[in-house]
Amino acid sequence: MNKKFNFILIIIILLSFSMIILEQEKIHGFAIEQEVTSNVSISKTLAISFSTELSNGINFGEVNFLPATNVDADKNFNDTNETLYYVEVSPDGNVPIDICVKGDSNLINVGGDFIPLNYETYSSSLSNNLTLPDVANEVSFTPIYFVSGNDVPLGEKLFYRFYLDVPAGQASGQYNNTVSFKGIAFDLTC
Amino acid sequence: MGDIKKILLATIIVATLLFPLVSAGVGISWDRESALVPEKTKTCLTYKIYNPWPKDSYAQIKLSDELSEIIASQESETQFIPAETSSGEAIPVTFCFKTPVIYERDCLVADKLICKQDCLQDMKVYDGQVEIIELTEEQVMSGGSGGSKTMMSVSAPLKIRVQCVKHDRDWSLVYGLVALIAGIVLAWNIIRHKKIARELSREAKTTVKSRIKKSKK
Repeated sequence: MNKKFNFILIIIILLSFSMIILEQEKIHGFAIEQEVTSNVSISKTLAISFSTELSNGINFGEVNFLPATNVDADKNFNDTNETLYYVEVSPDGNVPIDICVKGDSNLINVGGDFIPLNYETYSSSLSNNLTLPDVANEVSFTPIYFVSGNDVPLGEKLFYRFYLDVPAGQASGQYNNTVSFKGIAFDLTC
Repeated sequence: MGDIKKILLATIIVATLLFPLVSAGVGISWDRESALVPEKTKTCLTYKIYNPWPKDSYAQIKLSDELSEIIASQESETQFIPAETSSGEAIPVTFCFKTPVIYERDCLVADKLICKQDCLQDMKVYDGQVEIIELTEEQVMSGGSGGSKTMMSVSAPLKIRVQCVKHDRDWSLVYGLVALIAGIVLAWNIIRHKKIARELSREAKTTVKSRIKKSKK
């Protein structure tokens, strides 16, 4: 009698495990990791690079008199009145590029004082000379990406000049932040 | 003259090392802009990265914030991209993520157990980007009032449609409990049977011994 009862228990255990496996198959179809279906068969490539000066960062030098308006970044003008800041689009790509920019935060010093992000501005142009990029076309950095240059052709450079306003009464200190540049296929949302 | 040449060469070498003439870059190649992914599923996507510039770079794949709502976990490593890697030689990089449960289910216990899914809601679509971010060493600002570090990335659009998987009520928990109870009863039965058998064996030995003694008397 006892043996029959044990046998029935074993059958119940085996059946339960089988039902558990069947339940999981019903839900997942044994799919844990799977390839996904693409609805785009076109291959796109794009690549960008910074100029060395832009890669090294944007330095506004020392500001000794406040308030200061449109302080030039130190590489805005070289000996031939050209800017050394640019983003270059590689010719090894197959789509023109929009360059999006944003500022990750206000400029902050170690004491917690800050210069608002929108006091840092830029202008951009496909041309590079004394007047272009033009400070008259300056745009404030924002914490979300916005397009700074549309439809930059392959192999071309988008030139930048950077400016900073420092209000009266701004506390002394070294202020830093990070600005980001992103290349996306032409006409897509930043 | 020979000394002058040596000095000039050394100066050029030092200058080249101290002041690189070019910076590195990063590129992306992709052939998909959307994915249909079931919920509660680990999915891996492959993109290709390249660097046609004459300086090595490092990059990392990241999904944009718009997709963070549906990414339960994400795995991605830093990838080294040698200099002058063309788009034709682009390095495939796979990153994986898992989608959480996002569609409401009808559950009997604690909103999590013994559930069924009828998929009555519209399919949810999340629009975002796959970003390849170039990783650089900390940049040192040289004095003055400071300034801005710069970061570079390229991105490809990615639209994730999360698929609802319809299923009947999941009774796995009940079956598991039944198996557990049956297992406990079975184990208890076996242990009890062995105990009884041992006691009977002891009793039998004692009985045999006493019978032998009686017979000898």
